[in-house]
Amino acid sequence: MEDIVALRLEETLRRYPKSRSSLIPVIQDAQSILGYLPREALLKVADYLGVPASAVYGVATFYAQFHLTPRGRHQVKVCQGTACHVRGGRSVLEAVKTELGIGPGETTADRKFTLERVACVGSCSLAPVVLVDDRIHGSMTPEKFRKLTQVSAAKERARHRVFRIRMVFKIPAADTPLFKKNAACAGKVIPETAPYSFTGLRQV
Amino acid sequence: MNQPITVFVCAETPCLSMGSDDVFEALKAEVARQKLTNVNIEISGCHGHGLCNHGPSVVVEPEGVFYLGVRPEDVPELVGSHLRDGRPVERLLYQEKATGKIIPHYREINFYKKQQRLILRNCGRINPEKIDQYINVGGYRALAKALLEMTPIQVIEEVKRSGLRGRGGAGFPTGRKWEFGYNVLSDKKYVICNADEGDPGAFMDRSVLEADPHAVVEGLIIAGYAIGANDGYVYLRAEYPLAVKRVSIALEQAREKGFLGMDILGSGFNFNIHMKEGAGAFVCGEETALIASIESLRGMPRPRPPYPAQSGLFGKPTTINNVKTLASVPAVIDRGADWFAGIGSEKSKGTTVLALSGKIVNSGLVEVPMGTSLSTIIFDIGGGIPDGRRLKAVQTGGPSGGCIPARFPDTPVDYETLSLLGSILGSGGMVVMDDTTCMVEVARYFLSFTQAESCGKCVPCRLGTKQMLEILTRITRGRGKESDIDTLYDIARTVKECSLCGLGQTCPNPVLSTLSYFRDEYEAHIKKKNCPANQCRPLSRKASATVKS
Repeated sequence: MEDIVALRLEETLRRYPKSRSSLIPVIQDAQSILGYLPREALLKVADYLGVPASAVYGVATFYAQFHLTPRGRHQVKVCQGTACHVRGGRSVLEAVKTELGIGPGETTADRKFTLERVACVGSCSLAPVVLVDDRIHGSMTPEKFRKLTQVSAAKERARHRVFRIRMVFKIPAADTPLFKKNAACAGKVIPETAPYSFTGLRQV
Repeated sequence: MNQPITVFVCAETPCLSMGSDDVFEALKAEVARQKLTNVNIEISGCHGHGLCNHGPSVVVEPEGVFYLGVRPEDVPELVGSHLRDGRPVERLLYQEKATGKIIPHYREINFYKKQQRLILRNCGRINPEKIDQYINVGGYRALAKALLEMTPIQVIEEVKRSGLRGRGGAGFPTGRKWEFGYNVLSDKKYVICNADEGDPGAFMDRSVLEADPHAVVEGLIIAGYAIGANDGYVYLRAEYPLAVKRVSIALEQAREKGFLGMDILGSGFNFNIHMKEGAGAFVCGEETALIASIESLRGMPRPRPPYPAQSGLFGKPTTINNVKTLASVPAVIDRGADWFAGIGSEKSKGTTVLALSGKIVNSGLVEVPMGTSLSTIIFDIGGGIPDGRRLKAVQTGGPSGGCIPARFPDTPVDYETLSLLGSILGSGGMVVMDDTTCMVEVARYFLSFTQAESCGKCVPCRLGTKQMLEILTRITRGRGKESDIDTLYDIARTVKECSLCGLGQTCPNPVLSTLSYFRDEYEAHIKKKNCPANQCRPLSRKASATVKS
């Protein structure tokens, strides 16, 4: 783990009391920072809460929400709830599998998509539905999904360009306010999720 | 035209997914641009006209005119023509498919007209993120009445007299549950709102929490007062991010207004509510598994007794109620037990919320008095089956329920009748199936769900679901054996009788009910290697190949 990530994880841990009953909220938070739950993070949580690592592992593997392997940048969830099932959810899942070239629970080699099957997201009136990153796409058909991935690929390319520019500016130079604030991170990329505003960029 | 107008833009998950947030922003900007001072734009929950698949929907109150499929580019016309000049925009109004008639007012639509809205009383009428609007429609009046004018015993008596039963599925009388909670002596007690709605095909809890979270909060505070608990939990599925957000806002606002915290409304009663996000396990809807999950353990059920009412969360007496039960409580206290008991059938009082979906023209939430017949719900409210197909069966109660065949159209929907027919009312999911649905495949589908969600603690459920799934998969693939039906019966009964928790005890229901009503379909699959609904691919392909040759 990178130091800064470890730092943020520790910061999160400190907000919770050292008790067994904070385990689930702690790993929920840890996962939202790290994107998944690497071995090191689980060990750190176990150490902090004073819980056996086996118990942490047991909880992390019991619930569908937790992932022990890295995830793709986009989460594609195909609903297999009853309403979606009777309205053709199965053929949508098949189409998604062929389109992405992966099965449920897998991530594409370029780490772009992770495919998951879920049972009901509570939007049965739109069945069959597919979720891409928490956005619901209703009345899905195999053709509609193909279009959707094309659009998302285009968006991704556009975002990548912006991302690259941002990365350059996210390295604080010496003697800038940002450097003083984060002296420890000088010269390193700060993996912060909040995008810098342009005013912020100028400061750097 | 200076009468105040409120425009409600639906901001529930389905409408949001179709861009209702953009419509909301566009409306606000346009109203400001045209300087209409008498118009107020608000977000709301679902308007409940059963047309969620044609969203985003917008309602103009107090007239009750509603628009469907509104896009941001329609907004200037809508504001100019309707809100300023009072002329509704005809092309965006609802047109009844059968008659071609345009119906401008949602109250006149069949889907809405035939319902009785009690649990969903405020859905679509108030902004769920503003406590003042909830208070304006009578919210927290019941809380004041309970805390200031009634003793806990009187509250329990009132709920008992109303005949309110648990809306989570089992239908246990709520008043009696609270009485148990009240009678246990302990220094610390808990109440929990079970919002871990995991049944596929059920979305009423999501809708209530997104559209009217304060009703649930108010119900939970009253429950806490009745049993003498000072701490409450809302256990909410993480898969419902919007509901999580709305409940958090509601809790914060209730705290600010003094409905939560110390000495509520000067009554001396202290109460706090904590929010817990579920982590994605169907079995956590079971009460002991839910408690384990709040304690950050693996969400596995444990044998009862001791019941949670004696020893639950952190070993303390705990009372657990469903979202809809709690949302009914303020209405019971506010309007009285007699009023509530006057609705519904003899043994099942009040209303039930059903999530109507599947092969049906109008899908969405339907709230009807208990005992309303299936045909009323499906044909009068739901608008019947699309594409001229024939109704085959109605699946109720999700993976714990069963399929009711079309030959019982007059079945009253209440706890007793449905369980007599081998199904359950359950949480209220109602998936309509037409003649293109293969019932063996439906049973296989549900088993694949319960098999994956079985926690693995007790043997009958862990192994039984796996075995039944294998047999059903074999049948749908055309490799079924003659003895399979008997074996299925055997395993199903064993799992039903020997499992530890509700998940195992009810998971054979889809198999048993399809076996008893659609045995011919099983036999066609096994003996004739033919799928009557033409759904099971290996079989239908084989059949069409024979036709060709």
